[in-house]
Parts: sequence; C-alpha cells; structure tokens
Amino acid sequence: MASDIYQQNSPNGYNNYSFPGVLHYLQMEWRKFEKERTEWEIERADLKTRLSFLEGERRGIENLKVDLLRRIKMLEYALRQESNNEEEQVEDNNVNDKKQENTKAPETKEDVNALNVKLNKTGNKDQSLRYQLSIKNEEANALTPTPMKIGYWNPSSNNSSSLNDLKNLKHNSESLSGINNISNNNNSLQKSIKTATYTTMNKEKNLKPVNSSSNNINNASNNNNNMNGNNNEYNLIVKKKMNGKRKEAPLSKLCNYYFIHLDTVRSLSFHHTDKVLLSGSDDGTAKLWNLEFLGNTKKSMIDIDPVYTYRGHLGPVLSVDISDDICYTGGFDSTIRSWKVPPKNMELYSKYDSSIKQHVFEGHTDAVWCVKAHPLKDQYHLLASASSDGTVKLWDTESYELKSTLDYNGLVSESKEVEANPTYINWLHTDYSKAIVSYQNSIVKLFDLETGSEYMKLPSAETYDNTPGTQINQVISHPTMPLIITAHEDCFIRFFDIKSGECIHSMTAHLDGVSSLSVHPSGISFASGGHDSSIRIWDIASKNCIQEMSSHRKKFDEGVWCVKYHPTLSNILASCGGDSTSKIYSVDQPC
Amino acid sequence: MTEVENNNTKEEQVTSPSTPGDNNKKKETIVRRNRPGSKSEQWGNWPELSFENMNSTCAVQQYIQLLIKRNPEDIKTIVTCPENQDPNVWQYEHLRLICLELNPLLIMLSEECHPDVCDTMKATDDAEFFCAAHPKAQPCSAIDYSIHTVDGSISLLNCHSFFPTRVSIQPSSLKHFSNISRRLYRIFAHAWFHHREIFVEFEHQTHLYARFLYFSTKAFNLISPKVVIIPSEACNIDFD
Repeated sequence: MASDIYQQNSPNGYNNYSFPGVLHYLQMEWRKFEKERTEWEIERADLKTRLSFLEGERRGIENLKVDLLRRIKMLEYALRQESNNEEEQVEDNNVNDKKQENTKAPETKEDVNALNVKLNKTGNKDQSLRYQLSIKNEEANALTPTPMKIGYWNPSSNNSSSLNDLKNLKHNSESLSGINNISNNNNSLQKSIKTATYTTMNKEKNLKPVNSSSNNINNASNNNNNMNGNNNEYNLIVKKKMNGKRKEAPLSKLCNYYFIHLDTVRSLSFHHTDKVLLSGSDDGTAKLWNLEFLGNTKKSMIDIDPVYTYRGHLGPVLSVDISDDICYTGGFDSTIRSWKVPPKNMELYSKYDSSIKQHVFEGHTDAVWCVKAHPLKDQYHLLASASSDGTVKLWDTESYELKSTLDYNGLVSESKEVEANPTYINWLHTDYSKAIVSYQNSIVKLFDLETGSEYMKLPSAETYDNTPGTQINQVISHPTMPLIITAHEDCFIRFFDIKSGECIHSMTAHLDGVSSLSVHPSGISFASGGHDSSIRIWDIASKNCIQEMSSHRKKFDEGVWCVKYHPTLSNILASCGGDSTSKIYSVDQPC
Repeated sequence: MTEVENNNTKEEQVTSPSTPGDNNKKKETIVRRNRPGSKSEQWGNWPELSFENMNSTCAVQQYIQLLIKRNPEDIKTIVTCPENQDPNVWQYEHLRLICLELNPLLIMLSEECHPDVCDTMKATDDAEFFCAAHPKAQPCSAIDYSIHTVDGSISLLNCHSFFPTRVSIQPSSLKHFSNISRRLYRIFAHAWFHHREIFVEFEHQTHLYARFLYFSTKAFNLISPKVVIIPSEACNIDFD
C-alpha cells in the first residue's frame, strides 16, 4: 500500500529511487565532501606553514642583504683609509724625488700639485669601485621586491638564478677584501701611483688645501687605536678633528623646515613606510606632519602646518609611536591614547571628527614615559608602556585589554615595593619575543613577552651613583646584529653584546646627558642626541664620531630630546628638543 | 709619525676635562630637566632661576611659566612686563602660552559642544562669528571654530615669515596680536554663554580668562572694551 502511494507521488522516471537508496546516496555524498574538506584543511595548513617558512626565508635574505651592504660599506671605508695611507707615503717619496730632479717650480707648490693629482686619482679609483658597488647594490635590491617567489615554489624559473646572484654577491664581497689585500701591498701600488702622478702633474693647475688628507690619516690611525676601546674622552677629540673634514662620507644636512610646537618637544616617531612624522610635546598635543614635500619642492623655506593636532591629554605628551595607521601617545596624565591617522587628503581646518580618537588605555597610576607598539603587529598585536609608577604594562591592541604588568623583577609580585622606575622600552630586533627595558637605576633588563620572566640583565650600571643623574635614558637594539646600545644621563654611550651579555664598549659621547639614540636603517651608523644640544652621528664598527650638528637651543637644561631615523627611507633624520621645534636632516636630497 | 703626534695631543686633551674635581662640581650643580622615569610630583621641581640668569632664547617663556607656576592667581605679576624687556616679545610669548593653555578647554568643550547643538559660533544671539582660519572666512560650528582658531593662531605665531625669531618682533607683525586676541576672546565668550559649567571649572583650575582679560585689555590694548561682553563676575580674581 505504501509503495503504491510512493509510486503515485513520484510519477514517470523517478520510480527507481527508493528512500533508503537516496539516503545512502546522500550519506555517501556527504562523506565525500567531508573527506575533501579535511583534505583541503590539511592542504591549507600545509600552505600556511610554507608561507611562514617563506616569510622567514625572505626575512633572512633581507637581513643578509643588509649585512652584505654593511660589509661593502665597511670595506669601502677601509679601502679609502688604506689609500690615504699610501698617499702619505707617496708624498714623502715625492719630496725626495723632486729634490733629486731639481725641478724649476718651488717645491711646496709642486707638492701640493702632486698631492692634488693623487687625491683626484684616488678619488677616481674610489668612484669606479663605488660604481661596482652600486651595481652590486642594485643586484641586492633586485632581490627584495620579489622575495616570495625565490626558490621554493618554482626552482627551475629564473628566480633561482637570483639566489645564485646572492651567492655571487657574497663571493664578490669576499673578493673585495682581496682588493684590500692588494692595496696593503704598498710597494707595487705606490710605484704605479707615482708614475701616474708624474705624467699628469703638469696638467693640474688649481691648488687646494691639503688639510683633508692629513686629517684622514689621523682618522686612520685613531681608528686603529680605538678598537681597544676603553679611552673615554678620546672619541670626543677624534670627533673634533674630523668634524666636517671627511670628504667622502655622506653627511647629513639640516633642512630649513621647522615643525613647531608651543613647548618642549619630547618624542618623535616616523611612519614605517610613509613620509609621516608624529611629534609629542609638553604643550599637551601630539602633531602629525606630512613630509611628502621633502625633495619635491625647491623653495628653501616653507611654513609647515601639521596635518592633524591630537588633543586629549591633560598635561604634557611624553611619548609617541606610530604603528601602521594608529598613533599611540603616552602622557603625563597617566593615560595612553590611541588615535587614527586621518586620511591623507584631509584638508587643513576640516570638521571635527570624533572618530579620530580611538581608545584610552587606563591603568597606570603615574606619568607614562614610553609607549612602543610591537613591530610584528599581526603576530603580537601588542603595545608596551613604561610608567613612573614602576611598572611596564603590555596591552592588547585589538581587544584593548591589559595583558600583563611587569615590575622590576618580572611579573608583578606581591611585594609592592618599587625598586626602580622604567625609563624606556624597546624590542630586541634579533628576537622579537623579547622586550628591552631600561631603568632609572641604570640597569637594562630583557623580558620574555610570553612568560613575563626576566631573560637577561645587562651589567650597565658601571657608573651608577644612586641618583637619576646617572640613569639610562634610552636603549636601542641594532636591526641585524645582536647589539644593544644604551644612552646614559652621565654622558656615556655603552654597547652590549646580547650573546655574551657583556659590555663591549663604553664611551663618553656628549658633553651633557645623552637623551636619545637611533640606528640608521642600514645598520652602519647611529645618531645620538644630548642635552648639550648636539646631535652626533657615529660609525658602529669603529665607534668614531662621523659628524656633529647642533641646531637646537636649550630650554632650562633640556637640549635635544629625541633623534629618529626614518625606519625604511635611509636619508631622513629628525630631531626635536627643548626649543619646541622638530627639525629634519637629509643626507642626499636637496632641500 | 703622525700617529705619535696624535697620541700626544690626545693625552693632553683627555686629562684636562676629566679631573675628579670637575666631576664633583657636576654633581653639585642643579640640573633643570624632567628626566624620563621621574615621578609626576618631581615635574619641574627645581629651584627657581632668576630672570637675569636665564640666557637662552626661551628665557621669556621660561620666566612666564615660572611666574604662573609660582602663583597662577597673581595675574598682575604674571602679565606685567619686566623692565628692560621688549614688550612686544613679552606679548608674543604670552599669546603663545595662552594658546597652549587653551588646550584643556578645547578638550572639555569637545565632549559637550557638539556640532549639531552649537551649529554656529555665537556668544550672545546678537552676532554670529565666521571662522577666519580658512582662505575665505566661513561659518563653522562652535567646536570647529574654537579648534580652527586656536590652530590657526598657533600656526600664525609659528609662521616664519611673520615671526622669524622669538628674540625680536617685526613691527609689521604686531597687528596680528590684536587679531588673535579678538578671536580667542570669542572662544571664552562662547564657553561662558553656552557651557557655563565648563567655563567655571576651567577658570577655577587655570585662571586663564582672568589673565587673558587683564593681558588684552588692561596691560596691552589688544581688544577694545566694547568687545568685552562676558560680565565681570566671570573673573574670579579682582585685579582692579
């Protein structure tokens, strides 16, 4: 009877389908899809691991690139000094030779001429070398835009050759050291230079001061001595001698643009990729400046208005940081505020937009002296803050929750006693799971972000005398090397090796407290700012001062409060200080 | 050879600056600096420096801030220009500080003064003010007017072509002082007539209106008495 009904309900070609049959078929289908689904998921997980592997590989290659560039620069520098040494010797020889030949022209003049030619010649040599180097740089740069494709996916494609190129590059840099060796072989080279000098000497007419070469020689000798390191006042003197005399080094130049607040500017931060600068000041505001005009305008002086003025802190803004399109500010009023970067096309004096304000992080009970967003935003979404209530707090930037609170001994323990207030936080660039915290008692500690436990304590309190007059103001980590550099209130800059945890170099760097440090994105040099109102640029390898600039004025005893290199564009340096202005320095751009 | 010479000069120079006596001196001298990590109660907590001993370009600013910190109610002392001080620079620095200290008022106003409630900038109903920060003056909501006016005044005071240095003021730029004062006055007026509680609270904390009024009408003739529309009861300090 039931089958009759069934047959009636399903006329024509559907007779063959029975209820259980359909069910079975559906189950089969479902199982099939389920199986495929799990397979896809496995594949997806697989691809994810590949992706992270490749990203790691890319980062590795980038690091290698930076490292190689650094080595090339170092070799270039060594070569230059080597050639300067030769000049000196050639010079001596020339004097003797001239005497023998009884030349008609006065001796000194001849010497100057000869030296001049030589300078030109070595200049040419350097240029050709630089040309080669620039080619290599281009090769190295060419690797970066397409790093995801390298090797792993399609090893047969032309990308694999780029990996070979990289190897070649390595070889090249080794062969460069070969050049160095050749130049060490003074005798042969000297002769060839000498002959060349005689032939071209007469053509050269213009006289130039010879000072620079002797200065360079001084540098070379200083450089050798300085490797030993512990002479403190020493570097200051070196600096005075070489200040502005080095011909080849790309010196930074002050641009005539002023970014003015109404009171002391205490902190600066650059956008990671764009030419955007954020500054925080004692006048209670943080201002966002657009620097896109740099290099695009020929006007020598233009008045710059901020793109946006962030108002919200009651009292001074002590620290600022930009992470992607979010600005974080830490204030004297114990709060941390996050703000959106307004759209680029926003007009000056547009309507008040309450959505710019994002969140207020409340929890600290005293002034917030440092805020730092974690550079790996997607992985960690973390914001760290250091306050004079004695704690470092880690916040989740997505849920805005407080993740953990660290005091001097790690995760907050029951004893409420504050041993020392943190002054600055940074991230260890060679291992992003560690935070570096400097304290008023001149100690630097490394904390593990996951466990909150102390990972390392650096012996940085060598000259600590129980007053804040010897505290550490800032601490930075080198982008590629396991190196931490600290800025001390008692004029010292110290270098620490993370692997051994030891101080590898210590020097008096300024005439007053050192307030701020920033490493050039190439990792070759770093800048320091001090309350003697000067900004100094140092070579990391030799620890010599390459350049000194003083462009700020003091308010009370506050000189330069912050120096910052743009993290990716290698030619922009910014500084700010007590005279309520921020200034921009550029290496090779006309401005 | 050069190396030896170099070493000698170095030693000479090294020994001179780092004698122990020098270090002791350093400790004794007072460093007027807000160091990172210091407690908020230590902020600016250093012995006062007399005006004669301030010799940086920020001296006038330092001195006015010191006077305000000493006693914000002592309007006369704060505003009166000391002898041997260029009164134009004195006015300039005062205006800068007034713009700076208006910041908390703007923050308080931005929480209450919504563009849809105070959609035009008014004090009393007699006149509506147009916002001069734009290339062509235009009507703005009250909060926009206030923010634009403060930003515009700061931008004008920091403008290199009008005020190239803080040490002296070009005579041609003096006219801007009264323009800025007149516009800033309207912010106070709006707050008084439309957000009385905020005005009273702000004035109680800072005494900025009293200082501004004394500065711009009594001490320096920057705004005409006719423009003053806020009743004198708003001033909790009697400076007459």
